[in-house]
Amino acid sequence: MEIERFVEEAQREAQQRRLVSAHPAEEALWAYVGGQLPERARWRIGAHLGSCLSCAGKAEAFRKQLAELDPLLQARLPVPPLIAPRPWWERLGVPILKEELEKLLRPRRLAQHALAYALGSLALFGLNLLLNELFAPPPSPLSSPAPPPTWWPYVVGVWGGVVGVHLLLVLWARRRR
Amino acid sequence: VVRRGDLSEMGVGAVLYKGESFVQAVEQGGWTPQRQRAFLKHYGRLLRRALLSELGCRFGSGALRGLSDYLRALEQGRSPPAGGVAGQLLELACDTWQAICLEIFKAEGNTIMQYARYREKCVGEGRPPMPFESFLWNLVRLKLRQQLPRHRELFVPQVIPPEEEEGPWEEDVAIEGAPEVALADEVDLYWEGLLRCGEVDPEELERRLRLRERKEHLLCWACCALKRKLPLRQRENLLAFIAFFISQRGPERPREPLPQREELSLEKLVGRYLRWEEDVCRIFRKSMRKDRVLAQIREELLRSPYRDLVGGEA
Repeated sequence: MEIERFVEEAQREAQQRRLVSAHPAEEALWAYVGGQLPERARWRIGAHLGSCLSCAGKAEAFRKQLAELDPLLQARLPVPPLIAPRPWWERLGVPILKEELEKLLRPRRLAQHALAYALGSLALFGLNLLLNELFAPPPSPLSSPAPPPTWWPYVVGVWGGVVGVHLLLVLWARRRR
Repeated sequence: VVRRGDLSEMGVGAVLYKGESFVQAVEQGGWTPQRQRAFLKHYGRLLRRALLSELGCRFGSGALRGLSDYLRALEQGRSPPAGGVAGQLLELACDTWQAICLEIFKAEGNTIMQYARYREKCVGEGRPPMPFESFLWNLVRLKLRQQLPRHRELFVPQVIPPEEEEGPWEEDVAIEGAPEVALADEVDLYWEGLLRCGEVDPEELERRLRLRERKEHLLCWACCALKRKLPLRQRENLLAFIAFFISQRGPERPREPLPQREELSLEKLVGRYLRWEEDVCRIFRKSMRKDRVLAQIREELLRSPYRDLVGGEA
């Protein structure tokens, strides 16, 4: 038998389809149109639509409805919280710094810092005295007597620097996390 | 433990944002606004379609039509039509969307990580996992179901669905109604599979079809067997022949634009009565010879145990 004749006969057989009686549930049609059926179920419904004009019409109508509704709904759906733009101070990490400062001002932490401040002040005061002694110019009969040593700016500066570096480190570590 | 390679295979990792997969993003740095935007750009349409389809399943296409009119009125600045449930339906959609986004974008145990764990479980049990897209679809179903009891005004009091517990929801993929669908002929299932480039096993056809009695069944079997043997490039010619064959039956349809190569299915082809040169070659955007495919099918049939049915020696 020639292959062309064989295909023609197969074609004739395909033309003599009986009518289908059971139709897919509307839920299954919606899932088919949405493209979310398992493979075999998708084939089965697709094959059914090939021979059932009423279901094919329904599926086409559902498709149109989906295509029409999608952009309309997109415009109305809420934006996920993280996507909403954050203010600049949040992006720079100001809330993190604020939180760390609040921690720093708790009584226990404050006492620790005060103790460290006092010890640091004493050490710097001693250092200041020592340096003044070492580097003091020799007394001159012509000049007025030397002013008393000013040590407090050093103490405040160093302590402020330590706190600043501490906060920057915390900020860096929190952002990495 | 999330293995990056595994996730790349299943398609989640294949979606890249600045050279980095979403999986890597979630693993290393968590979600950032940019990554969220990219995720929604890629999967947002799927999520919205899933949400709309689920609403269609539950409330019918009439309710969706109402929602469509309501949204169009809002868009045009008109007062939306009074009566109906469109406003409540929109509220339900917004609440569900919010819940979906919170679930996907939460820092710990988000959907990508859940999918990774689910996939590992499947691999451990030796069964194929569902694709990530289906997983997302299930998430949409779950979140919608959880929201339903909070929108009681959409139901008559007797059918308010009960609040659902959080639980394993990955397996919840059964869609009612699909397996009961009757076909005019079972062979259509396999034609559809071939048109959708699915893997159709010729041995299954031998078991389930009447190859010795029906020529169409035998032709379908020959196409499946031939598809297995052909290199990828030549499979397209076979697919073109199948599309041509399928289009030559059923009540003739009014002329419509030709279907795209990716959307070939029985639904799109039956009754189209395509012409080989003018239509089929245009769909595939290349010149092909039908007689060459026919010769290949003939050879396949002559090599088969069914050669006596096509004029070969028994």
